[in-house]
Amino acid sequence: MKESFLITLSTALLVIIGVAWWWQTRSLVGVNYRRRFHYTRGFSGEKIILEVEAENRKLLPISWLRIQDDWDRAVGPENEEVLAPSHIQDRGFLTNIFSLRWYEKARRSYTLLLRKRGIYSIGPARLDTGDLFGIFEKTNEIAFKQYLTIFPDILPFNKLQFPAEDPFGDRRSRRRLFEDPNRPMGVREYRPEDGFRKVHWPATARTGQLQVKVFQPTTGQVMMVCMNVSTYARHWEGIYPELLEYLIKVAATIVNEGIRNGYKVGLVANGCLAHADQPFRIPPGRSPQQLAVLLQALAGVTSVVTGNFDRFLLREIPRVRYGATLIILTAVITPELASTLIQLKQHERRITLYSLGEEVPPIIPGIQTIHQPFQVKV
Amino acid sequence: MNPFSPIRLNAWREIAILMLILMEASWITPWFRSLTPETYAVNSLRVLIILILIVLFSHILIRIMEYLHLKKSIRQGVMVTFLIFGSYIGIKTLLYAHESISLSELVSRPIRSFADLKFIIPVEFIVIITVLIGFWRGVSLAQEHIGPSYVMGHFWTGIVMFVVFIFIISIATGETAGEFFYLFLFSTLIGVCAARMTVVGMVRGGKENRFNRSWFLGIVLAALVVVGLSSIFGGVIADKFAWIGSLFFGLFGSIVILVWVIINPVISFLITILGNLFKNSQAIKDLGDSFQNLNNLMRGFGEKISSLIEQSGIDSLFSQWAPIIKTIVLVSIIVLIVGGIIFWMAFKLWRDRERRLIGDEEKSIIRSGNILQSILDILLQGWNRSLNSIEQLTDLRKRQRLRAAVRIRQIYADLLALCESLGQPRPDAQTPFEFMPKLEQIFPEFQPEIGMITQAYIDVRYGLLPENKNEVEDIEVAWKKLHEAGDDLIHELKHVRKKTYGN
Repeated sequence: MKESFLITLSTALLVIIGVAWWWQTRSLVGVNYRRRFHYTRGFSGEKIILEVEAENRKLLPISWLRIQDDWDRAVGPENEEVLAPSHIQDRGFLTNIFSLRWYEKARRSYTLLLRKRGIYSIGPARLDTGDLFGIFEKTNEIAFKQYLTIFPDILPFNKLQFPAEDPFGDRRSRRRLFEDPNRPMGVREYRPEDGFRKVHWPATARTGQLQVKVFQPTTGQVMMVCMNVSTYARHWEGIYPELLEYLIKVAATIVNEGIRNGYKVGLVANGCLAHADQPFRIPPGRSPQQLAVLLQALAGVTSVVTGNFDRFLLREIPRVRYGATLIILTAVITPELASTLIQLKQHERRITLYSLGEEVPPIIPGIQTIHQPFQVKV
Repeated sequence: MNPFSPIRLNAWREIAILMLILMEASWITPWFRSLTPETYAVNSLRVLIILILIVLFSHILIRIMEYLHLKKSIRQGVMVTFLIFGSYIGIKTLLYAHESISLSELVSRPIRSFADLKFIIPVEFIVIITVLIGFWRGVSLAQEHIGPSYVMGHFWTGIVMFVVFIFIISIATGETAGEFFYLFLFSTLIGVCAARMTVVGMVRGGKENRFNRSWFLGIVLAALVVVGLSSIFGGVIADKFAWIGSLFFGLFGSIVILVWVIINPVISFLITILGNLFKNSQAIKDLGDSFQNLNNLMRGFGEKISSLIEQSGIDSLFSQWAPIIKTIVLVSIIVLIVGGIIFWMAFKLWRDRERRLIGDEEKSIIRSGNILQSILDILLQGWNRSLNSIEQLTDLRKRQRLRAAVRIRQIYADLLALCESLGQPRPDAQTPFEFMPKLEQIFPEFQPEIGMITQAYIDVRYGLLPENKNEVEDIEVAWKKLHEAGDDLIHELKHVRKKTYGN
């Protein structure tokens, strides 16, 4: 009797431990986790709806599944306390606990508040689960990362004090240089200077008067915003965060206004983008996505300066199409920068210098200068 | 997603606690019944229910007192009352259940049996001790963090107790734990699951999983299935492979007999001395008889093992292979010892090389070409280390200083509790030094005392131990002053409240 009870005890133990162990090995099979954002980009102060979904695609139920998602507080839920603390500064964990039956899906939704300009990574997510009774644990990491972008704020353009008549200093030169014969965009009446090759014969026959084709121009107005990320004359001295943020807001406002006025707008800066170590250059374009691309780049600008702005300009400007308007946006004007601008002016570049520095910039002949010193809001 | 609180209700945690109580009661019940013939006469279900009720009631009582923020003195009174009543209720329900007994008889009979020299350990004493342990368990459960590892720890304790029960009680009385073991397994599975749910839900952030009745029922069902399966498998295997049980039984039984053979002469010697010293003592005679009975039991047990081995045919198998087995065992022992020595020496050599590499000043114990001397050196060093350990253990002064440090921490904790009862708790984010101005506001006349206690606490908190007794005494005096002033303030507050809000 005693011996048989001893065997019963051992067997029962083995059965329970065995079942729990087997269950644990299968627990994470077929478990999916997804985050669904209604939008992945927005301006600060906006709210985004997030839906997290956990799915169990197998017959074995999961009594407990804990998902800890690494989250940046700048794009955290409206209620900041929802994020569990993390050892990394400004980050937290969004924790969700699910119990999933066979082939069950569970969803939770949160309202995220976009707090501060930047590009923020979400993830990786850590999944903890185990057997039905919770005796054994199993952990897995879903390395899939997603990014949320908070664009810089756009200021009212009149606040930047650009001249109302000719904001970017290039009105006199507004003209179409060439036309693309493959891209007709309409017809107009014949003028003596028009060649016969341009005559639109069907339209002429229909109207009874000579009509010529009008083609789309191959070059439009081009604006290149050149931004100096340094907030001190010697960039290794550090960074003035508020000034940098303001500089980026001004850049965002200028590119927004440029696109609205039909410019092909590009952007170069001597700062790094988030998750990169190179200065960035966005070629001018007029596609519907160009504004979003520019704002996204500005959202990702970090305070890391890759080099002197004057040298950077000398390297980058030759790549910019001739005839483009250059908007030089800086908080620091050094003698080297002034001489670089003179050099660029000698190459027939149209330049507007927008200074946010405290000191009044030097007068450079032929360059439109706007001085709007940055003032700290108290 | 809330941290643990003894008063906050959480369905999963309550289930975990209940299952933990059931787990423990299910292995204690057979043990309790097997202690004396009187306890054995009590129905096992009754024992189980009474044990659960004692633990549960004390657990609930302590949580209610915590919830009501009762004063320490009231708590102590309630606890003592509960213990006295609990003990008598335990005695009545477990021992005198079938007797119609008056209250005075109920009170006096246990006292009479305590005084009776006929029984060394009266059964009433066992019941009272059980009630006390049950009470302590209920209280401790209210303060514990019930996680899966905690439940699993108690699960393994229970398993060990069941195994020991088989080897000690089952041999003596033939009694098995039977259905209690399955109850134990069932409550363990539910308990671990509930504890896991509790712990998982405590993590801050996001959204927690609320208690779901259908999930709970599902887990109960699954636990029933698993326990049922394990009992079926257990039954089948116990029938088919009974010889494995006999083998283990024989092995462990032999160990028990071996231990008994070693301690038997010592005990019989002690009983003989006691018998000579107290010639007319009935208790010593009873003890001698019990010892003789135990001796007979062990002899019988030895015979049982022999018969089991004969029945299972292990003895014929053993006699056939005995010479080979003996040789293998002896050679294995020698190989193990030699291997152990070589491994030990290699380990020492490696450790010393490591020490030399990091510039340790300790001299190498290996002297080139003299292995015997090296072994002697190793032994000497080991001896010295053991002496050092013993010295550290017996360093009373250090232990006193440690005790003093604990006292200082206790005083600071009491000071914080006093501030809390005055409605001025220390915010979690404030350091003791940051909290000092607030303390000085509360007790303006005791600024030096406050500074002394805070500084002493900081010293102890960061590893400095008090040097002498006077230091602690000074702090005790300072605390006494603050405590008295605090009590006065509390009385004043109460008085003001009474005046303001009336009775």
